[in-house]
Amino acid sequence: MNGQIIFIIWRESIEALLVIGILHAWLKGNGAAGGAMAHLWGGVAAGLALAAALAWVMLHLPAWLPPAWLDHVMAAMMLLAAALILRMVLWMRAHGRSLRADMEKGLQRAVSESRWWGIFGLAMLAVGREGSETAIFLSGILSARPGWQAWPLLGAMAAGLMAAAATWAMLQASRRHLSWRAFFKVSEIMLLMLGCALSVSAMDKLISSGILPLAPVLWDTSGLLDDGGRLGGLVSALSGYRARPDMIIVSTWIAYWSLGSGLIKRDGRCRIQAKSRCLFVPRQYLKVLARAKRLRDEA
Amino acid sequence: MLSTMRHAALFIALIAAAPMAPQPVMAAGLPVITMKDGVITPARINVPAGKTVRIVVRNTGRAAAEFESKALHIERIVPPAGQIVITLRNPAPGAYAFVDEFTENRASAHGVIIAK
Repeated sequence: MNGQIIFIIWRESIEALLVIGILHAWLKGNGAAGGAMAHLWGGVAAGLALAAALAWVMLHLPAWLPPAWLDHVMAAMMLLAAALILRMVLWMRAHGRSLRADMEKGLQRAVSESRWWGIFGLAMLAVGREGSETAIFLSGILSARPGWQAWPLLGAMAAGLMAAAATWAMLQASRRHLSWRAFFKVSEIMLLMLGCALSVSAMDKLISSGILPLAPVLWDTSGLLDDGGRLGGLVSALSGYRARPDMIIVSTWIAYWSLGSGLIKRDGRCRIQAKSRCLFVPRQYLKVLARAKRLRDEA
Repeated sequence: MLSTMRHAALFIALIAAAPMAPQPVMAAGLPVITMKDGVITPARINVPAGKTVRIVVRNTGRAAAEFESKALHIERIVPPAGQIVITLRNPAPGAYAFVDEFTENRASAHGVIIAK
């Protein structure tokens, strides 16, 4: 039982930890201070408030709300978070090298103001969504065992939080010990997979609320990795894996990864720094722009 | 930072402004699954396939439970001493596994809905 408490706290916090840990390590590695960090931690604080509010609604209002309401709120939150993740990955790609230099030159300010809100929103949604379930889980166990009986449980909770903190420390250490390039690649892949997991979970909510139909299962890989087990559950929460996917889930995978890779390919054509809006500029103009920039720098 | 908080407050207000009309749950006569601190009864429940089926999930335990079924795409919190109603829309014949996710390491916390 206590092992389960530790595991659940760690698992429920891993998603938020990944998102916030990567953003934090990335901003820090880029020497970003002030505005960006304030937005990140502001988002975490807002996420905690959101988690508490959602937990309260789930515990006290389920019979009063239309049954689909919570599903729709959750689906909207997850789709928004997935969109913010895609946007964040593109932004990190566009500014991977230049952010620190741009900030020192003060160039970054105008471009970034709106992006900081993306950081705020992503942190808030990551904490708020999983946080609400963790809060319910913990309050449930504590209220079930009053008084001194709760002490071992508090110990397990502390261990769960320590496991989460260790994950955080590992993320921050990996920024220092991995090459920047490797850290960037790994974190990018993890963020993209999280975005896929969020999109798939959003579809689950829409099926559960009746907007999308319950479709027949296409194949079954639960013999290989069962998404109902501990490991399979963790993998599915971090990547969108499903052991018995239906048409809707498979379409979501295809749609998400074609959108993601399409956007990244498009962005790859654009390698002129500090031109975050040149995502949609055709390749031939980029050479002209680059030459113009070189001429300007020489002048 | 101030505007940060203002945005957050706005968002929370939006979330909280849920429709407040009571939603009578027509639970009478529906099949019931009971969750009690990691024990599900019955662990196996039969429903007709190809029809819309509603099932009451009741939590008689002291801790909150979470009804989760990846096969049915449902993940819902069941508050202690509370109940929810889940809806299966035209399930194809087959077995749909579910679990109380908060106690998933216990064998008694796993169940299956059979549609036929």
